[in-house]
Amino acid sequence: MTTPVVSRFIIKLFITFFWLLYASSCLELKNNYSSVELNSLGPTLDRINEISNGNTATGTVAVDVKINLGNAHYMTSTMKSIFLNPASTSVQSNTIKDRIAKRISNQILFLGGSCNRYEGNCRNENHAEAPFKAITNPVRKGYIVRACEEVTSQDEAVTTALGKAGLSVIATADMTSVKTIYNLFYPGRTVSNEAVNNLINLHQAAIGLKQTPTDAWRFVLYTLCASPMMEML
Amino acid sequence: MMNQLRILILSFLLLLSPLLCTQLSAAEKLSPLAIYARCYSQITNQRIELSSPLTLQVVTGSVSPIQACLQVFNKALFLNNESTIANTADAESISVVRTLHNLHSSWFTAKDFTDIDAGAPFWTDGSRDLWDTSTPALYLTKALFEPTPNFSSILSGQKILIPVRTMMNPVSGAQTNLAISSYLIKSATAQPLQFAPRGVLVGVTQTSPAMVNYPAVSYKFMVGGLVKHNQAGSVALYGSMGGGLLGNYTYSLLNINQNNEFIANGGLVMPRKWGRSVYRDLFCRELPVVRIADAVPFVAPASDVAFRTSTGCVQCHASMDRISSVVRSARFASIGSDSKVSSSRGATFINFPNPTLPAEQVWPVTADPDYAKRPPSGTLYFRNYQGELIDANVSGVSELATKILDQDDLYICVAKRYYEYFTGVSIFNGDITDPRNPKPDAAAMTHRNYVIQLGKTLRQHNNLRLLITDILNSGQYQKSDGSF
Repeated sequence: MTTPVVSRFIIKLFITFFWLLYASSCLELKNNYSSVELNSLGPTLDRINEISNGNTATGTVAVDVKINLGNAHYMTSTMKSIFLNPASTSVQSNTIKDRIAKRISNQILFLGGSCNRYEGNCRNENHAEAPFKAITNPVRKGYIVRACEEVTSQDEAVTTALGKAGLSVIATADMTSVKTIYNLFYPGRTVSNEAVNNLINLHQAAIGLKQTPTDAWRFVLYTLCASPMMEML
Repeated sequence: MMNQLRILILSFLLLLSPLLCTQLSAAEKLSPLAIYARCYSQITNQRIELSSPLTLQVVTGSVSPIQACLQVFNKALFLNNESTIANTADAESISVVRTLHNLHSSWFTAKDFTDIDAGAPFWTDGSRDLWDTSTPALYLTKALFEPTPNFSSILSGQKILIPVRTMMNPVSGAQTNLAISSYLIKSATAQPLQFAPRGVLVGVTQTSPAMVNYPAVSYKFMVGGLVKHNQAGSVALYGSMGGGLLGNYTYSLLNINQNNEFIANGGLVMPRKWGRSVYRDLFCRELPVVRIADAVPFVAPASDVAFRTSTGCVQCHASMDRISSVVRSARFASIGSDSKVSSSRGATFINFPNPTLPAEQVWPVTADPDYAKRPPSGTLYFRNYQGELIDANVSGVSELATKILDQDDLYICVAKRYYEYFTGVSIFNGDITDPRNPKPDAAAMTHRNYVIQLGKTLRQHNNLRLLITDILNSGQYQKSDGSF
């Protein structure tokens, strides 16, 4: 019999592991450059030896395409635009801001998005050295999932996001409302009916377990927030 | 109960994931709103406002997504006579300039001054106070936003560019936050010493060559061959050798990375990091950029310069050392106390003394102690994207820049970078006729040929905005995976 704390930890670990697998399988569509090709981009010792030996490369290389992801600045903007009510000064609103800052804005080294010392927007000296483009690494996904969990745990984040989609917490989860909320997270992206039905089922299952309407929507919002599609440009 | 729900969520996520993943992997033609959201985020680093009038126009179809995106971009164009955006308080315009300038900065090898004297961050910190570390990228940013497009200006002329930020004459340095009074270096003119501008970037302007004076002091004073120990003198704050960004002294300060003892000798001691950066920054190429056979004529088995005896070594040095010889005269001076004593702060400066000795005839196979005093001739030596050997002698930085402007590879490199940024597709722009390099497959070759054409077109119209517009209007940009 595991304790609730251990159980919670195992579940979190499982969720994180799952998203890491998910991210790695989905976000790099193709990365089929051979090691020879990669080596040719830098004069490593192996490469120098290869050159000295007069070796030649064989085969072909496929298209090197990686989906563009948002860096820390973009992800901050996205989280705020969905979950934050700029007019609110409540404690929950401050908590939402704090969680976004701590898990996203301050994680430039893991999410990318260098700061500029001349603009005075560097929270940390080494942030000026971070890459401008988004970084893909396991820690990145961990921070984003954690931010989603902590932000959606605030009732105000749930009501704000629903409000921006023209919904309220008592709205029924149906094809129309779920597609509306989907469009809030991923503007203009198409969604299959099957995916929408799964989100509807998630909402209804929560209601069936005697959860509040706010909690039922919370789980839908968390699911959408933690998806890699949230990060895509 | 909460944990049960988490398990419930997890099970649904597992069910959803294959569906979402399929959507990510398939070549989906994006909707107008999705295209606008993508483009807007890429030029502003911000998410679109769903309720903004422009977004609604895209949704209703009254404006195309690319037109809408370019409307946002065009708000950030610099004014004709100001070198700044029209409305320096407009957050959206500031975001556009900031985002694309940061993108340009990311393309340069050297992004910061480094501690060229081990364990001596005080001079490096001073350099950060005096010069904006993104100075080379300002040339691209200006070319992108200036009213009259002129891409080739990045490598021509003696313009010394500096950023226009909200505080053009800050009272303290961006790195140290110290006041001018903490510095012993003083402006050589009546004007007080100025730090690099601070605040948000709202434009790019030019400044004039300038010198700074330093006094004789009694404490340890790290000056090298350029100036004599414990004597007052002056060094360049701003300078240019021509050739646009290549000739800007700040580009050399960022890339040569040597100390006060440095004197190039044509052998082991050379400013070769500068040359490596030129191939990277302007051609998107990593060494070696020639073939083994191209190195053979320069191998000297009897040389006392170790790398000259090996073909594998010469394959890189034949390109980077010989191009770097145009900045062979570079000398460094770290001015100021070797401690953080107030009023004794300084920075590391660079200068390029005029030649005093005749030119060498060939690339010397042994170290030449007078090499730095000879004329700054050099050689651009690389295989271009078609496999043709470019072997061009030049008489200095300015002529080198002209030769680089004559190569399609410069334009292809810039096209490659924008194409990768907007579509996510990275092409191989090197010499595919070299048997060492594996061949792109049909799809990769299609992308490569497309980018080569973009580059050649850029060379004709000389307009970065048209290059970006072409990419945004391409079918690849408007698909989820960048495919044709």
